[in-house]
Amino acid sequence: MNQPTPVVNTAELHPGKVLRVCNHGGLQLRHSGTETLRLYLSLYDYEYDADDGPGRVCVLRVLDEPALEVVLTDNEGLVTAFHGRRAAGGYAPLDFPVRQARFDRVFTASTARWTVTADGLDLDVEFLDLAPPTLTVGLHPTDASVDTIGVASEAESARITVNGRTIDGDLFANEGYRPWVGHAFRSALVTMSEIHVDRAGRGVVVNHDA
Amino acid sequence: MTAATVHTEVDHAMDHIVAGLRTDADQDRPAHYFSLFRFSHTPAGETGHVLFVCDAAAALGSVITVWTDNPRLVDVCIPRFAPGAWKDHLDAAVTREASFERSGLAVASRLSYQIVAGDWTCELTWSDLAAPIWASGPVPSGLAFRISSLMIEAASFSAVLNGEVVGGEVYPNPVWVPWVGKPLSSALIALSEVIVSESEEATA
Repeated sequence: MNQPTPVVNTAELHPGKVLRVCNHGGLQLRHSGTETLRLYLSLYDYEYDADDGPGRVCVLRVLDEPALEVVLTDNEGLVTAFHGRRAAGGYAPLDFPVRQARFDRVFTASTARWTVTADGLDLDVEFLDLAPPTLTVGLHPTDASVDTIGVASEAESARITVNGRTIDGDLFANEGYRPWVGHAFRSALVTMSEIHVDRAGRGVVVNHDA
Repeated sequence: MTAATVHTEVDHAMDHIVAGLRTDADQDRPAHYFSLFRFSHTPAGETGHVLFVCDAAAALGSVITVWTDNPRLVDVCIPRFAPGAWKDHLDAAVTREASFERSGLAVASRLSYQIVAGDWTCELTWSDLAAPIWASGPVPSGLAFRISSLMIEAASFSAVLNGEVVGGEVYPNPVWVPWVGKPLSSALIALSEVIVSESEEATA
């Protein structure tokens, strides 16, 4: 199998199909002083998707009372594809109601904020004091058919309100990332410019000088 | 053993979207050139948009006009990213604060920007988009950086400045031959460009 060999001032052209480009905000909070999860948010902000077009998908779970489990989106085709990828990765299905929503975002050098408005639901999540970014390149942590590259920034803190109610809780070290990058990531993590590429054809890197 | 390599010295992260239009096939440089950056990370900690409009906006009073939603970005951007063929005109460039609204980017479709700077307006549309290519390697300029970029060629491009259509045609740009082995369209969308220091040894 050929391996990518950098050649000075020559690019490697990766042959796999580019599947999608997205930004991602992931936030998990535990009840203060415990290891009990209180909030889970995973927001994919797709700027490009080869099959389903741009759009957003946000999985929101508030696990205390009043409990709330919902998928918010402005493109239901993306939700169907999202569920399919979860199933292919061996994850349990998310049997949450899907609601149409409007998404707005503001990114600065040190913050990332999404506001999401659906019928009867207002979500405002902000990642604060983002650390200097790191570039990660490799096999996707949850989808073995995909190579990924992305710029990840841990947030020192985060703020989230649901229908005006602030959801407090503790951030923690998310060990789920350790097998992937060799260390935990904080449970408030923003990944920008994330590219997913089908691994089919991997090893046949196109290099015009080769 | 980890699955990913990690670079901690990220230099820039951005989208870079360009379009050159020729009015004569023998021109060395395009008659009109648009270079639009959307920075999500810079070493200076500044983010936002910078658009260089070159030779297309004579009616606006300058060979180069710079449109931005973060004026602090302009000084950050110019030394590394200003269009080289127009650098002699940078000192006289006119800069205006502007708002940037982006739409589209569906596959085989288009990407549009609506940019408004007071009484100036600029509408840019890249269309007939090819399938994206993910490229990575040393930066073409030879500086000590590596770059990763998702490149999407546009077969068509249109620009409307203050209501006036900017003339010219998209063309195969040979400047890309050394880096990717072939010309690329002069209307090119580069998404998720990440530049890292080449001196850094990635951890694995």
